[in-house]
Amino acid sequence: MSAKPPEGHTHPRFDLDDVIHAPVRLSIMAALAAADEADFRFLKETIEVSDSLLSKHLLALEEAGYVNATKGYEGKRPRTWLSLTDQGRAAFTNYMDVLRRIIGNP
Amino acid sequence: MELSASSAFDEIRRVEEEVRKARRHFGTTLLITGLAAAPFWWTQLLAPDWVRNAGYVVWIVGGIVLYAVPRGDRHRGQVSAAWYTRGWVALAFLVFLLPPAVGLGLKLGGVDGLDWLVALLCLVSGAPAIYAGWRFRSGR
Repeated sequence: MSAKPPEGHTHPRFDLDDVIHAPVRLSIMAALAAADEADFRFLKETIEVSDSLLSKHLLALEEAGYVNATKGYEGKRPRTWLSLTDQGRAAFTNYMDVLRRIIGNP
Repeated sequence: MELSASSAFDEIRRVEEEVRKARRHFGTTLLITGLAAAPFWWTQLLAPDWVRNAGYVVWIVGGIVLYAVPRGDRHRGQVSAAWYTRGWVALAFLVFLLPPAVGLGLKLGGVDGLDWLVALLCLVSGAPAIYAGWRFRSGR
């Protein structure tokens, strides 16, 4: 999906957002779209990935402006809360629309 | 790894269900805390000594079971709502601090005949947690 689309393309798959359309990043976006906020640990357990892989993909989403990270403490334990930005929510909504166009309304 | 549109949909649905489960669990915890707050503060502030002691034991044991014992499912991480994160201090204040603070204040001030006020605060103390629990469980 990352290949450059041919000129004058009509197939909706070319409209899929490459930032979202990757296994781990898709799961992160889906989780954050369903929950207002989720902590790092919740994402790690839900997506079943290592800390380093999750951090790498979160960084990519933050750089794209899709995810916002807030660091804080719960008692003495450091905690990172993650949420979608408005831009991220709009991108995920658009991504879902494209998916529906590809496979029809599920 | 190539990701097909249908497997992308399947993954989105799976993740949404995980989030729903976590929200329901968190909502239930808040709901139970809110429902238990009123009778607990009533036993602590207005009931005879033996009822107070029993209420205290039940509250501690219940708290351990609810918050400290590992859950059956595998999640230890948390989901939250922005309004909850911003409001949890106010919620904790109402549930855990307001009734004893007012009760103690009245006692220290030697004010009698205001048991109705303490009883009302006991009743109100659990309301925010019940409301938050309901909103989490209903996914709002």
